[in-house]
Amino acid sequence: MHRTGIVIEFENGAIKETSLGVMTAAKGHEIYALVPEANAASVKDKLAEYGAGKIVAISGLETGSPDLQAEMLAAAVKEYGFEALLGTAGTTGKDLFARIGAILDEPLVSDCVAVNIGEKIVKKSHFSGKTLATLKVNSPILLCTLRPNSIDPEKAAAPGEMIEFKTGAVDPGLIKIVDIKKAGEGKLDLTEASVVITGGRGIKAAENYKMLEALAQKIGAAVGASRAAVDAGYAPHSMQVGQTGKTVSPKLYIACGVSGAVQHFAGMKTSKVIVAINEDKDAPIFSKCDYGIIGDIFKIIPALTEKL
Amino acid sequence: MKICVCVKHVPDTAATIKLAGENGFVDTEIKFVFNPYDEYGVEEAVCIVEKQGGEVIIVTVGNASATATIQSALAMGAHRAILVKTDSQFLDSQLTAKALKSAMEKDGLPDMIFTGKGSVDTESFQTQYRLAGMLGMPVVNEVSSLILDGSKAIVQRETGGGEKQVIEMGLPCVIGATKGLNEPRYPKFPDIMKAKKKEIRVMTLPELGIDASAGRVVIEKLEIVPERSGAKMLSGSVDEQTTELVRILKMDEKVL
Amino acid sequence: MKTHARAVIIGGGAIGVSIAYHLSKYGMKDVVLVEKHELTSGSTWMAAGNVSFYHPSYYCTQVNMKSIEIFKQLEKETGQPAGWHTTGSIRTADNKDRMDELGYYYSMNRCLGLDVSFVSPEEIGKLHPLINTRGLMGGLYWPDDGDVDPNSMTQAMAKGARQYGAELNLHTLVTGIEQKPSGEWLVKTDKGDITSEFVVNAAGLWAPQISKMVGIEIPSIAIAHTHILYETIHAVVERNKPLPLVRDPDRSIYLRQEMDSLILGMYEAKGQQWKKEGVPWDYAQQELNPDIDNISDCIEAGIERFPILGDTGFKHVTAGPITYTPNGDPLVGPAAPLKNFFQACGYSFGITQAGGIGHYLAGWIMNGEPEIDLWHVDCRRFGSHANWAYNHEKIADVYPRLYSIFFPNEFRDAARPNKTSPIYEYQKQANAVFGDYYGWECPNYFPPAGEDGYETPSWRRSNAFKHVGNECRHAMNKVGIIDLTRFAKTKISGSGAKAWLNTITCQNVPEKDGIIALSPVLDHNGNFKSDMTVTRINDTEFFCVTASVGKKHDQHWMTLNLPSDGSVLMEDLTYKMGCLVLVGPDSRKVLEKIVYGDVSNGAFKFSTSLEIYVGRTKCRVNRMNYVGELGFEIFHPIEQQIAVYKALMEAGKAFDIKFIGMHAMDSMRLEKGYLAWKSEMNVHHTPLETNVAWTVKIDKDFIGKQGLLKQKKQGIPLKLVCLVVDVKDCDPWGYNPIFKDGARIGMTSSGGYGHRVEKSIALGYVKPEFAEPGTKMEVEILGRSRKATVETMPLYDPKNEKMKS
Repeated sequence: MHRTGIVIEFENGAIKETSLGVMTAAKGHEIYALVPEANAASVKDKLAEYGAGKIVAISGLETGSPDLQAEMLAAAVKEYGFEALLGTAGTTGKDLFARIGAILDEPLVSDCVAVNIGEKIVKKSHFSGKTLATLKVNSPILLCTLRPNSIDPEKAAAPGEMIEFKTGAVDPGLIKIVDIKKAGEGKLDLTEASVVITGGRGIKAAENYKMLEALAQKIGAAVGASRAAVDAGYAPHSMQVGQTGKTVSPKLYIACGVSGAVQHFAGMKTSKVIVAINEDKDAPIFSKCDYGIIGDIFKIIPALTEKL
Repeated sequence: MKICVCVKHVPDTAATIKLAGENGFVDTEIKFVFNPYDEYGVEEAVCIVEKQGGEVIIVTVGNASATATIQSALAMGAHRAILVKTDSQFLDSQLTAKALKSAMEKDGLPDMIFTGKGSVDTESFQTQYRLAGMLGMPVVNEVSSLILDGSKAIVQRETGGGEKQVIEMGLPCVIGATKGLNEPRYPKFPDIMKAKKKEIRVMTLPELGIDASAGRVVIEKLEIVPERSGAKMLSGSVDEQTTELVRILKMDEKVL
Repeated sequence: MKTHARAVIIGGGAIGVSIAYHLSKYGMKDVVLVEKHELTSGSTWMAAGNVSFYHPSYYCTQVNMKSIEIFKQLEKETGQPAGWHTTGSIRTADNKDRMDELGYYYSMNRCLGLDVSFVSPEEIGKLHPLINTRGLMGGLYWPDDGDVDPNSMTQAMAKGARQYGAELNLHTLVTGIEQKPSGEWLVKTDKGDITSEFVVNAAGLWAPQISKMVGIEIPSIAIAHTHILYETIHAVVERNKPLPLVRDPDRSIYLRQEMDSLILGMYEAKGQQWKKEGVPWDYAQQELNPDIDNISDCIEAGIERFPILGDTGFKHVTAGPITYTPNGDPLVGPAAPLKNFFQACGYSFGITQAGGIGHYLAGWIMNGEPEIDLWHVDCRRFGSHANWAYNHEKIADVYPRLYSIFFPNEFRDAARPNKTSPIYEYQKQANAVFGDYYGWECPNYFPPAGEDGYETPSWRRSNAFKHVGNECRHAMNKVGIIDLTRFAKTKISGSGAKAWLNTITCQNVPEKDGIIALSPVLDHNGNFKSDMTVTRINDTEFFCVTASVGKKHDQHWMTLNLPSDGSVLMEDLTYKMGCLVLVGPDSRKVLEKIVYGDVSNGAFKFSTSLEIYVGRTKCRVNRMNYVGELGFEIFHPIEQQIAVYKALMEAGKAFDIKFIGMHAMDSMRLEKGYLAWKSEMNVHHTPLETNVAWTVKIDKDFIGKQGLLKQKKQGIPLKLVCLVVDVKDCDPWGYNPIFKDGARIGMTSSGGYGHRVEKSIALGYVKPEFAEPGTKMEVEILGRSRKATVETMPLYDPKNEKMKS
């Protein structure tokens, strides 16, 4: 049993699913869920349901200042003597933990896929998913963020005893968030998109990309093309994924009518899940994707779009 | 304006990693490149100095072969470089930050520091924060837009889902650059040749008072993640295939 | 995976896939390809994909032509795009020698009816607006050249291969190859074993390891080839038609359009050999670290020629391994001494040739003979000296000179000497200028002491001309000694030797001991396989001599045709016996002084053989030679060569005996109308078309007889003629088109200057109606038309009075 703090993240006032997964990662340990005081009451039951022995309601943690948040959490670490502090490796979590690590001057491991709190051993990807590294952290405290969805949340009822914590920290720090711009409409950037749909030579004509764009819009994806499709004039070079085009690493990659040349794989093989749809059962793409459908993209894509 | 850009020499993301021993990899047989996110930092720094005057200094912690990446950065227009020599690709983030800090202090502290948002080898996403912390500077990572306004920097940072925070901070500061900040220039041959004549000041860890063996994150083991070897094929009618796919993506893989 | 196949192709690059595609397309059942990783992951993935008709070899040009034809129709046939673009290509020249070389290509291409034209610097500038034409003298332009996406093309062929029934197994590693007692091959893989009639080694980077599995060492080593993709160039985007490929061989660079930019490739001065001891099995499609310093001269040269490159950033520098052999050409065809094991590897320009070689090799495998003469790329063209270490030394010279001017008289110095006659040092003392023939150091000519010991490479008459003339005249008037130690020599013996030899050659095997017979060896179609001389020692023992460079090829053919019952034995004597040839009117006088025995014309007739003591050495002396003078081929134990040589020189002193080199011999054989192997005697011609038709004894059974009978019935399509050509300083060399009234009627097979008759001579094949002596025609040499007349063969000593004197 090691005393472990979990930094809980919220979306529209509710606990993010991924934070529950992080609690599950600390199963069997003495879990302290760290939440802003303002949210504490509304999420108390849920946190208890997923294993929070204690819920630390931190006064002012809802502040918009990342430096101040980090100061408060660092203070909580000291206050409660955590042996581990865990969070989610999303944009916010990664930023916050890096700040905490700097304040405490303790080692941090970011974006882990597995954690052993007792041994202070974690596993994480190195080299764009090509290797898995096992790391040992030699420190009184294990600071670690976990890759979203790497651990499925499991219920594990615990007392969920509420503690209030006033840190005394007030310094807003050196940076100031002055505005938040909501996501705009329009096409997503290929290299950063979390879902990419690519049309290959099998798309047969430039105008058929509209079919892919319809699907893309529905699931927040960016649309790419294979070299063969670019070569045939169906798509501009800026859309090319592969050796002489762009490298992408989305969560989901859907290849439509792409044969799957080695050169194409070079640009997308680190995608988390690869789905291929192709008429040709011998297309090389089927040997290297996760899910394959042999069939006509002009029937399957519209059907898929409708179901999503 | 004096700007330091931290640049890392990393294996090409397309390179096949071969293991050496329990926790190392064969670094002599693969292609190494300029850490892609660091290129945005170099481009931004060079653009600022081109407009305002000043000096861009590349600071790298790496082994001797990192010179190739340093020269690429110099070919983009940086003026000179510092190489803090180490033997390991995996110096831990705290020590790396300390090395960068000490090297910069030795050379004279800059008005701004750029890094990439992270390195594509160890993907630790923290060195810039530690460096900023040690130097008492503000830091923002994943910056896709920057405006300098006198002694202030106004940056935009993506926070997922396309949302952007607009953040202000005073100089000197540390900025972790990412895609969108600019389009890094491709080095031209005459610039590549000129870069070879630019100064690379070499420092060593002991010289900076750093013990490379003091790292607190130790790689115990490195394993190859096997490549995909054949897909699960979905059969049935179009309706059955797509229904099953949607189920898998949502329920099993949770990518939608 | 199939366990039984007719052919197993090892390697899924452009070459292997093309072979699988063609074999299955032409109807072979059970074609199985095994690839240890993914298709294209050896060298194909990084190839630049330039495809042009250009090749120094007439026959390889045809391979390229076939490739382009195939690439253009692949998509239509398979439904899969091959990524072909017709862009045209230009090969530039900035000096006179280069213009001569282009002239050779121009004329050679016209033998094939290709669309090729000379372009002026102004025209080059119009064709490629980004080029700086300063310093250019001109160039050649092929409008039908282009480029292909190596990967798409390979995938399209793979699709085609599967459509025709071939099985392509990826991620299947060959672990061993064995030959079963039945002669079938057992290809062992990590996914199971395959029994197969044929095996094709198309393993590219790993071909040496695969070849080693069957006990054959091949000279193929990878070099890191580099090309640079530039960032978007507006001038390219704005132009709406593709820029032609430009090869500037004088700068060792090529430049072609890729999408909205350009790719610059180069053959730098110091090619970096990669994993020269053997490429690891687990290598696959990995870029190597480019070495900009090592290629900076070429990049600068590129900027000089295309100034826009100086102001354009490098988008990507690709360095990847590509195989190289001792002369930059691949290793193709049947591997000696094996049966049904074919090589198709060592490719440095594999994309260009992939389509064509798939077609031709498939035909070779299925029909037993190649459709066109592929000696230029035949893996048996390299002797046993051409091992790994030799190649390692040789390609250091070859790689940077891949674009250097091809000259017919150039023998490069790198990785020499290899094989030498025991009298090599004496030849050196005599100021020999050596050539390299199948690894043998053989003197081309002997300039007088103090003269330059280096022949100026040229398409025109070189500084050797006058010295060669002196040697020819010396042979005509006095006595000379030619070293032909390199001859391929084979002893055929046993109870079945005579009967078997009679099936191997169209000539009758001599019935009397000591008789020599010129005995062409034919293939199953009746075309020339080999040029052989058979000497009957006795009823069960025959001494066979063939061309030195054809040793492996010829002995392979004999081995494959040997009866299995042991009635015929074959022994290679090449490295046991030397040969010094005494030629000239005084040669008998020299010989008489040192032999024990009678060598008078009465006792030792032309075309007979004697075992006789020359000095202290027992020799086999054949009254026969290749220059058309009185002469004696003295075969001797190689370890006694110096003894024989010294005896000859001592005896010859009074007659002013001198060395005579290869150039003189070649000049003299042209005058005599003697055929040369792979020039006049190749797979496109039968003896019936030539002046050795008399050797065909059609009333006996021999290999090729059916082909000859068929040709006799249909009439010969071409006839060998001797032409005298009106030129001043550039003699015909071969592959010159022959025109009559503007129509192409034939092609020269070889040529040169005949110093004894003082005429420029070409041998060539023309349509029979133009073969009459006196017929006037034009021979095109280096792009210029020259007057020529058919003359009665031979030009020199037509009644053979000198030989028989």
